[in-house]
Amino acid sequence: MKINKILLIDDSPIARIILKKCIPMEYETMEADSGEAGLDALNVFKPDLVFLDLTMPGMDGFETLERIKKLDADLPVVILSADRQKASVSRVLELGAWNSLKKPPSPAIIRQTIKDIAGSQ
Amino acid sequence: MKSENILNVTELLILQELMNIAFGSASADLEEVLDISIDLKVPAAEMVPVTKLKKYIQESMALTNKSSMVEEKFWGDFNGSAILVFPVEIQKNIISLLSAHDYPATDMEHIEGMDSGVLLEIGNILIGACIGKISELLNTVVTYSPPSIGSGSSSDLDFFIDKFEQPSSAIILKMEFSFHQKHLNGKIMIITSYNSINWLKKSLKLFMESYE
Repeated sequence: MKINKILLIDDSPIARIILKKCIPMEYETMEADSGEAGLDALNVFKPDLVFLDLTMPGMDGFETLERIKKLDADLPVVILSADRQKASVSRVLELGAWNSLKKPPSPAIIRQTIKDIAGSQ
Repeated sequence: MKSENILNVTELLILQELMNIAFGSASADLEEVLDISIDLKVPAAEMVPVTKLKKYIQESMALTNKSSMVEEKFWGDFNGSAILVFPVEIQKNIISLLSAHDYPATDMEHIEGMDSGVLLEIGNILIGACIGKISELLNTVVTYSPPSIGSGSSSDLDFFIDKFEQPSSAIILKMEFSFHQKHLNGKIMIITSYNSINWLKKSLKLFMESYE
């Protein structure tokens, strides 16, 4: 699949800055600072890929993921979270996340993940 | 206080994200070692004058005489103390946090009375892993004191706060969490000595520059 637009959903501005620096310049990105803002951005921005944090005030990443998948089951969502508990990783994979990566992200892993998703469908 | 001697908003936000990463890593360690799952909440970072530290800790950690508090000191470029506070209910339910798999019902009588030991172990894992991860992300190493247990009493808190030099400020990193499906909450607070501030400013800058 072709990936042009990537939506970053994380309440931490620092986490968004770091993630943005890991994503090659050729991709268009949009940032959302909450699950609610992320869902709004889906309609406006129409991303090809979403990076989503789990621990957020208000709507957390689990609920956001569930809602994204209800709206567009085929949209790849990669979890990027500090929460590395097996229970959390299993839950997001059951909810349909493409993968679950740990924070802080490594530029090489982010680039490879985007490449893998682009080549997967 | 001179502006170069306080952390600015961006530096506090970086610390907040480091705390998020560190506690996430610590919770995975706790799950691995004791099979206890945690629901994470959003962390906070701020600076508090040492003269107001006691009141701040009492209020933000909801401390009472009946709270349980595990404390661990750490030394290095990054130095200070960390406390893990549990509400009074934890004393009645601490054994329920341990999985039946590790402690079958027939063994339960043998572990009764080990509440303090379990709290110390949980504190040791969470505090050690949390401080360790922050140190790793900031490219330094720290040494730790063995954990000790206290209450939320005023005298225990005075003893804890005496270590922080007045009239400086302390750098606070805090996070709330709850034990998954157990209706028990806890709070962790890392209080960094003011003398870490110059090293901290430099290290936070280097951490962000590593993504340039």
